[in-house]
Amino acid sequence: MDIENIKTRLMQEYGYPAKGADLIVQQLTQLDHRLRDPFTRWWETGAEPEIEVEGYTLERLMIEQGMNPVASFLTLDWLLRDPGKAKASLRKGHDQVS
Amino acid sequence: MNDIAQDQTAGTEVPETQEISEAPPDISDNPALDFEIQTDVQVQQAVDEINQVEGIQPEVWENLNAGERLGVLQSIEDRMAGIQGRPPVIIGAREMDASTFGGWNGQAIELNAAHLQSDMPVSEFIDTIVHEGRHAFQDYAIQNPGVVNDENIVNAWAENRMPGNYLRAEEYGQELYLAQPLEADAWAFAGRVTGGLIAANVGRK
Repeated sequence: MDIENIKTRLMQEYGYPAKGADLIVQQLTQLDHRLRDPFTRWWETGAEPEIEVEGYTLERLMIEQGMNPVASFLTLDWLLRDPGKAKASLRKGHDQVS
Repeated sequence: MNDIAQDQTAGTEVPETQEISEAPPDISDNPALDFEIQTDVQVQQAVDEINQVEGIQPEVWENLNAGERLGVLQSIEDRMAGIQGRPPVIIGAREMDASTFGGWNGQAIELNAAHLQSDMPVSEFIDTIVHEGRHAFQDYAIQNPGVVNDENIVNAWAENRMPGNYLRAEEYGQELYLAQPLEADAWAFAGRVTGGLIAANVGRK
């Protein structure tokens, strides 16, 4: 992964602040090996992967949880690492603090 | 104190300073423990107080309209504010994504309007109100030093509350959202309260 390129695109295309982009990059460099190629393909071509983890796909997370693709990949990674906690948390949804 | 009284009875001189040094350490000497106890007390009082609220019985809740439900939830918020020693805040409802249960905007608690009109169990709403009310308490603690003695905790909340530092699930994923200080505390607190209510067989279908 070209970390600087990813960070720049995260900031310019997705609107992350620099600190947030650093955090995302840090998470992406530790992605589960089963997600690395799908992420790279999506990042380079925009092709959504068909990978499914514990019943969740990238598309499902985007539709049901309102996540952008980057957040969805990170959540798929959590589902792989800690499926019980991740599924329970997704069932509870989230809130908004502003 | 009893030991000192016995010493004095035996004729042993006890300097005044010794009484202070032998007293149990003041609770504020251990801010982390202080916060833990403060939270434990709030949880227990919340379970007891919410238990008394009219309208949270599932068979009653099911027959309330959205406005009446807001009234019941406002009653819970008013009680939670009293327990937490902060001013109560207004509860409203607005359109939100289905996965968003509520929000705290720094002034008021907002609920998902569609959820409020659905057959979602009352326990979910209690969880949301307690959770968002905890965010109100966090803000109050940030703005009023001493409300929470543990400066490490308050500083972590304040840092998390700075512009650009709050991690939205929609942008950072569910794990980072859940792990940030504000949300970790709010989810844990509300989970303990709703767990206590379920154990008391309240608000459960």
